[in-house]
Amino acid sequence: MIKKIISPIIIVPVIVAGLFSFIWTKQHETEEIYAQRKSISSLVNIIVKDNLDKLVDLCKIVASRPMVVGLASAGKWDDLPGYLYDISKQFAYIEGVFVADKDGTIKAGVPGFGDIVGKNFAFRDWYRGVSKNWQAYVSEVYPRANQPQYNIIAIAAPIRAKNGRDIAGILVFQIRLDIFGGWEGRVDLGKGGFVYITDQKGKIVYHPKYPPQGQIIDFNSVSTVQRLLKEQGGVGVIYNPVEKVRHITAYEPIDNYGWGIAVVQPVEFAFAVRAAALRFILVIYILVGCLVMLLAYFIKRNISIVEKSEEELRRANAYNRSLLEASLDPLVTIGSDGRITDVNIATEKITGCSRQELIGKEFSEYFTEPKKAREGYVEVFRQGFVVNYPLEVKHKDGRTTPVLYNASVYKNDAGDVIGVFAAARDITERKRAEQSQRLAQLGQLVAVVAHEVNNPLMIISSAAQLSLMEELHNNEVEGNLKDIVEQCERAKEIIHRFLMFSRPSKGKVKEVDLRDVLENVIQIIEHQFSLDNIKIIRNYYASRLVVEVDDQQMQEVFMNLLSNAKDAMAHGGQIFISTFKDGGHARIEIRDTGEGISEENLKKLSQPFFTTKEKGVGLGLLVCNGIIQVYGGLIKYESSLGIGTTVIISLPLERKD
Amino acid sequence: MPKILVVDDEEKITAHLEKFLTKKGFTVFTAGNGEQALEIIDREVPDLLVLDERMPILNGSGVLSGMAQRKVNIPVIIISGSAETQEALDRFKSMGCQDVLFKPIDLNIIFEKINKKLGRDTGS
Repeated sequence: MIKKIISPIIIVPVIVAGLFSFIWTKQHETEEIYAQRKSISSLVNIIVKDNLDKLVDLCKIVASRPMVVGLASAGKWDDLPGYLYDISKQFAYIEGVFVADKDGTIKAGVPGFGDIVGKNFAFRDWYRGVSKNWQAYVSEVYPRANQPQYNIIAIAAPIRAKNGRDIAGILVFQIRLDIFGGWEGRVDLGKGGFVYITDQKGKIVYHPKYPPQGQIIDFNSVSTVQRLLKEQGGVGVIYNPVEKVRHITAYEPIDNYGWGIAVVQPVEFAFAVRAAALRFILVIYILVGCLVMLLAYFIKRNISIVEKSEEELRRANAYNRSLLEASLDPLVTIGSDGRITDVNIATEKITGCSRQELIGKEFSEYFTEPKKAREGYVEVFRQGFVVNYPLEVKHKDGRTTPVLYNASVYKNDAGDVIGVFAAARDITERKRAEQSQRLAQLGQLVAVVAHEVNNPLMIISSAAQLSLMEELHNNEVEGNLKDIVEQCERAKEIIHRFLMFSRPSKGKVKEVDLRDVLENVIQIIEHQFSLDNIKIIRNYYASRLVVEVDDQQMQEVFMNLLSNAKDAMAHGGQIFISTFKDGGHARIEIRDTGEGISEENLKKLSQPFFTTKEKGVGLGLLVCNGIIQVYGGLIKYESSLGIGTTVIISLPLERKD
Repeated sequence: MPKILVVDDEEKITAHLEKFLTKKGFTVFTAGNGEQALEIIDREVPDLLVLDERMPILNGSGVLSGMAQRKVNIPVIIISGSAETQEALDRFKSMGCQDVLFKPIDLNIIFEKINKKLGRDTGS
């Protein structure tokens, strides 16, 4: 999940920051440039206005000179040229100077006004301007009438009569347009930058692209000029339809004159710095972007590596678990404190306890000999391993399983021993097989012995029987002979039992209900038992408990056990017969209230020929054990002296697969 | 007087049974192995056989086979050293012989069985 969103998380802010920087820088730089252009235009404006003011002031000064006023008031126009000539000489940019009367008729002028004197120029802008309020006026650009015919502007100032009210005439300076040029050296206009100046009609006063003495250019269609004519200033990227180019233009009206100046720079040059800055930002952000993407890639890769290692760990765990579980042998890991840390299903089966129950428990509790188990555990630590260490695992229900343990220590990365890995091999089958083999060998031996012994017994017995048929007249001899016959019979019985014990085999197996088998036996014995003051109390499981056995063999088992119970109760008592269902097993309990068996004797129950009965052979329980084991069952004995004995038989229930 | 053939490789066993059965009024022949038994069967045609299983030369089963070949159909009582267990009993049964007594044998019981086989009253 995080892997999917890590790239957007890292990259999106960078893109946003980049965009923001780009826009901000662009805007900032633009404003900066605009401010710069505006300041240039203001400077140009000041210079131009200053020039105009000076010219106007000059014109007004000259017009107010007493000599000029006197001559004009006296109408002595012809005396003026000499004086005017001096002025035109004195100021190089004054192309010509002339005086007109109040109506605009030129009275005198220098230089080259010969043809024009006497002509009325009231139509001229200068006249209309100055006559409006009789104030000094700067005219529009126009081509002058006198020779050589330059494009000029006129600065006109009224010549006031000595009384100060009447207009004696008009003094006009003809100013060459060159005066408005030559900015390159004076003001830094930036690369490709230039200045143009327009008059009150929107005509070009000065423009570096148009020679001052060429055709007069009308810039009325240019939006900048339109605004200037409305006395508005400003700055911006403006399309010039005349030049068909986009310029960044800062423009300002020249106060009092109706003129305007425009400081112009081609967009590409004006924004060169901005473009450089933006390029710089772009480069920086591309670099940052690359770094961030690289970072994102590494983070992602790290996440992938972590995820991959986690996945590998998960897989390894699953693999380890499946390895553990694949084993049919009980496997267990034990911590250095002797507590179980992990088990497989086989261990759960052999102990009857769940994994949760087992983990954290002292391992030795699950063996019949905890001390021996712990000794084995210590041995593993001492030697690093143990091989085929015999133990018996206890099942929850009391069953035990003989096992051979193979165990070794396991270590952490640092090489410290952190526990024991133990695998148990269930040797029940092997033991059974060994026992069967031993029994088979014993069986063969017994068969031979039986034949060899029974024939002599037959001879002894029949000899005694034949002797008994004679007229003996001797009670002692007769008694001895009877003993011989009886003891032969007893020997025969011993041999028969021996044969049964040594050759336990499944008889005619069929599905039987344990209750039926028990009832068959009880019917035979119950009457006899009641005579001996023994009561049989039944407590059967409600449903059928079907097992697959030979009912004859099973009857022999029950007969044996009930007979033992009776023998244990010389003075009468009770026998409780109970059946239960215990998982996949049927459990039969036969409990008597007899004298009980001592602990010492309890251990000897499975030894052949062990008996406490006067006439016992000591094979009955062995035969029972043999039969029960043949059917995969278990038999165990619990007893307390003076209280009684309980025999518990467990047989696998018939599976209805 | 019914004729009984007692077959056993133990001479004393045949001798004791001969003595006992003679006393009980039978005509008794004895044989020490299966071959002798078959000869006597051929010669004397006994009414009943008391037959041991384990014998040299020809054992009890061999005798039963021989009888079957000869189409001789006389009742047989097997006397076994008891080494023969369930399998042996099953084999005898498959040969049509249901009666098996395990040594040492109560003589009165064998007498009862013989009478029963021969359809005689025990008389005692």
